[in-house]
Amino acid sequence: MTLYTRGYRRHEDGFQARTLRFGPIFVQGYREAVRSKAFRRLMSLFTVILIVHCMMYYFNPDQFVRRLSGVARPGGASSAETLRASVASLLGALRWLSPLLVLFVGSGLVADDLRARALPLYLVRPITPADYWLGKWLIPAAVLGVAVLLPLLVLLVFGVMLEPSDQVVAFAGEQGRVALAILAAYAACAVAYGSLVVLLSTVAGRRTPALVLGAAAIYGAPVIVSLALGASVIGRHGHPAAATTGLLDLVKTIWLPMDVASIFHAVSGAPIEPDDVAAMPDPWSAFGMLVLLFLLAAFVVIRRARTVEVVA
Amino acid sequence: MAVVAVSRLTKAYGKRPPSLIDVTLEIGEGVTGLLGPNGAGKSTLLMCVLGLMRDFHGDANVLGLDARRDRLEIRRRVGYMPESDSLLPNMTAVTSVRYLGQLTGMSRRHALRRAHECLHYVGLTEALYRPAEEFSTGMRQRLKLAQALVHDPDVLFLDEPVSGMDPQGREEFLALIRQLANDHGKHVVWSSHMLPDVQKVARQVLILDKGRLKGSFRLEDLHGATGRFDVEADGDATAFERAVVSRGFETVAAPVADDETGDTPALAEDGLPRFHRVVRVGGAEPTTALLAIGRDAGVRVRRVASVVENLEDVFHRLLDGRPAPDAGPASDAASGSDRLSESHADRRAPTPPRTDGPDGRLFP
Amino acid sequence: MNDDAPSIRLDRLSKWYGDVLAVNEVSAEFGPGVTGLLGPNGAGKSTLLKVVTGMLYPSLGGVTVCGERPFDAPHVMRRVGLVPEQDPIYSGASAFEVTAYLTRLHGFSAAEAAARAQTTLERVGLAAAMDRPVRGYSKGMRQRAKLAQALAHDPDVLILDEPLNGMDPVARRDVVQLIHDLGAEGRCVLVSSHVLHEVESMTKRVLLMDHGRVIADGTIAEIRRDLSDRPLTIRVETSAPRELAGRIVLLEGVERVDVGPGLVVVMTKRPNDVFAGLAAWAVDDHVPIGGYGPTDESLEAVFRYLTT
Repeated sequence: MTLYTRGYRRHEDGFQARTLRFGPIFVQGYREAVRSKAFRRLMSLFTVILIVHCMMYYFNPDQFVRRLSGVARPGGASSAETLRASVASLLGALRWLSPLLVLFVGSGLVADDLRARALPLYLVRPITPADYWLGKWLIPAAVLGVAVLLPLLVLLVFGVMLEPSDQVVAFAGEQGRVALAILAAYAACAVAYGSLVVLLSTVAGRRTPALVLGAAAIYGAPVIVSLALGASVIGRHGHPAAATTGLLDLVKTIWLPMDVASIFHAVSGAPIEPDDVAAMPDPWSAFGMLVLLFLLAAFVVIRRARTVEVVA
Repeated sequence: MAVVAVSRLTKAYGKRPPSLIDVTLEIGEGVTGLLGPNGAGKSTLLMCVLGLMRDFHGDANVLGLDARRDRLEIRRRVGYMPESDSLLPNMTAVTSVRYLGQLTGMSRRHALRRAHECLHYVGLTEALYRPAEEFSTGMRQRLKLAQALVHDPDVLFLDEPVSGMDPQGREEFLALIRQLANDHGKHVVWSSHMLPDVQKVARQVLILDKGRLKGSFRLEDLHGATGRFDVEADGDATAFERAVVSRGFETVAAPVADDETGDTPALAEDGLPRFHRVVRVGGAEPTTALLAIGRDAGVRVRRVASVVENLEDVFHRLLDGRPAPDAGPASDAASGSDRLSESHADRRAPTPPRTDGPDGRLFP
Repeated sequence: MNDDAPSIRLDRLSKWYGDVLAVNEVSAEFGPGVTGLLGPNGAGKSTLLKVVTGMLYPSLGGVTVCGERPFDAPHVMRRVGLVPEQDPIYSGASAFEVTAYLTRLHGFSAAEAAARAQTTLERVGLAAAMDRPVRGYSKGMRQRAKLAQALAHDPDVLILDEPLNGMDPVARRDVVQLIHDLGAEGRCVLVSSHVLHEVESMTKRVLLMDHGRVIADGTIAEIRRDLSDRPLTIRVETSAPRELAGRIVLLEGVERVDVGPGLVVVMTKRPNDVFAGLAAWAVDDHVPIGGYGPTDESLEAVFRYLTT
């Protein structure tokens, strides 16, 4: 018979040398995010949009291409072009709606910790502020994986499956560029929206202001860009077009959904929708802006985590 | 091997005057009290020792590990209980402890098991699955302790662990710490402004002030005989004092009896006046001598105990001579009674020495 | 006492929130001097203080401050100073600015408010720091700033809720003395605190609450005396515990004897017999006794007895 000793017991099982120190931060936050009401509701919406696109592709694929070039091309577009166009269209919807998801799910990521004064509890663990930043950023990145990457890939696979069975494999092989472009667009979304929301969560310190600021930044940027575009058109009388274009590209890059579109189109080689031509920044400018945003967010969050007074 | 060893540690934030100046100290085994006024440098010391700050001069070691190089390893073996009201948002007690255990490197299964055990140990059995935001102050402090214990650290740093707790909660917490130190061999560093609490649990005390180490001593050194004895008795005080003198001893102090409301002196149940004297006694058996004096004087001795130096008195003695922390220079002092920086020697009787023993219970 | 002397009177006061009874038929009277308000967390102390300062209406019973009800009565509240437990949120203002402003709200001119703010801040030990923004203060300094704000308008009644929270030992000693002096000046001071030995240094009069009721009211010695029908615990240090215990256990009235290393603890209804016995055995029989005394007599022991 053994007597159960009440009271404190030592931990005999040791520790694993955890290679990914930020792992638990990511896992815990991700689980909390996908259980939230906002995620469930918006994901239902995204699923509906995906289904609509699949159905449109099945029943009337030509409309995608018609929209792009304005008129039905004689002889019809190839399946590849149509599929690419339909993916571009779905991306078009997702790159506008997914920021909303990220903002709802992510505004509290750092803000809640700051309000609850949780950082001292983190910092005395064997993790670094960089681990904290990375763990937090990966949460919206993973959420976007489910909300953006997955639907796009599903649509691509759906389109491939619709080909006559003897041509499926060959067709699939041709979609390499599109698949790559999907990944690039997802990465752009993750970097852009993920960094922005974590940055704002840290800077605002509270959930609601972070959400409002983020919404203003993403959905209000078109106003600024339009004004700049308008001003440059007026100012073209007397200024060299090249200089205006260069600066204008920089301004256009603050419009994050357009950065995503620019990168997708550059990688996939798809033509740009007529409405978007003027507003689309140069892909390299877009890429540069996203990298800058990521580094800025990392700097701010890591610095904020590091300067917390552990003791009063 | 010292638990924490710090050598010539100097740290200044930017251009401000240094928070720590050439501090060399060692923290040994068991429970150590870390004391000092606000701004003394205790926080900075802890931050350097935990490796949260790396740009300092000098050396700091915890359990033999260097605080700059091996800081992550140190944090694996050290548990810290912050003073701030910190909790993890939107998590139940169990989840938060499990999460922090995982962040320390434990697998999810082990962390969950340990979370339950630690929460049982600190007395939060009833509240395991409740959100931490709903907890009262005492429960939050216990939760922080469980969070610090989850990875079974060898060293615990506790920063104001019982602040805001009612006396009952404080007693229970002190008992937990005593048990962890005595029965399970943990080394505890207890930083607090409540000196009597520290006196009850600590074996060694370190006092910091203005970035320097002002004192380092073992508490048992305080118990050295002062040669003075505190006597409380019922009967004729004058007769007692005469008897004291007749034996060749002297009455050193006559503190006011503790029932003073200003009107009536203290009385025992049978109407005898109760008095209180501090007597300097020599010889091999001072207590017996005092009791004999008591019999000579015909008084009933209720309490006789050797006067022990209070940690609080030692603390103030080491720090006195400095002006109150936010006072202006002494030259523009207002009327003397308003200045709090005056020495308090002439105020009232010293606080009576405690005869209750460390925790007032049967056996310390 | 005459009606408008500094005082607080509670008359069968009860207060509940829904079904939660926070204060249960509390009657008490506080006059000039310091009174300690003690009790475990959840005893109803904060609720009581809120009713006294007019922030909550009683559910049953009455309360008067300086002879008048404190509800919607600025002229009464002008005579009351409050140090709340919570930390108020300050902007970048300095302690001097905030104190002067709050003093002005009590009706003083700008010049007089400034002068009072200056004196009071010096009295609490913030002379050098009073012009710095409160944001940068340590917890102890913020507590002292709150104390200054409560004192600047020279109130007759002071309500202090955990005033020493966060203060270092130096500040604690000073503020304990300050509170003691405020009571000696004739103000009616009510201090709620968990640190019993500090309360003992400020005052002899305490009100002990538990679960919304008053369980003891009076000076510490009175309370102890009222408990005298229970057995007294006496702790004896001795190098011959078993011999001593053997003698003690034969005495009338001894209910329990515990023996430990170097120690004997006795519970007895007739402590005087034990005292007499100890003296006789030490002097006549040379039983080695190092020291002894009753252990139940500190405020902490009384508190523990009454609340567990």
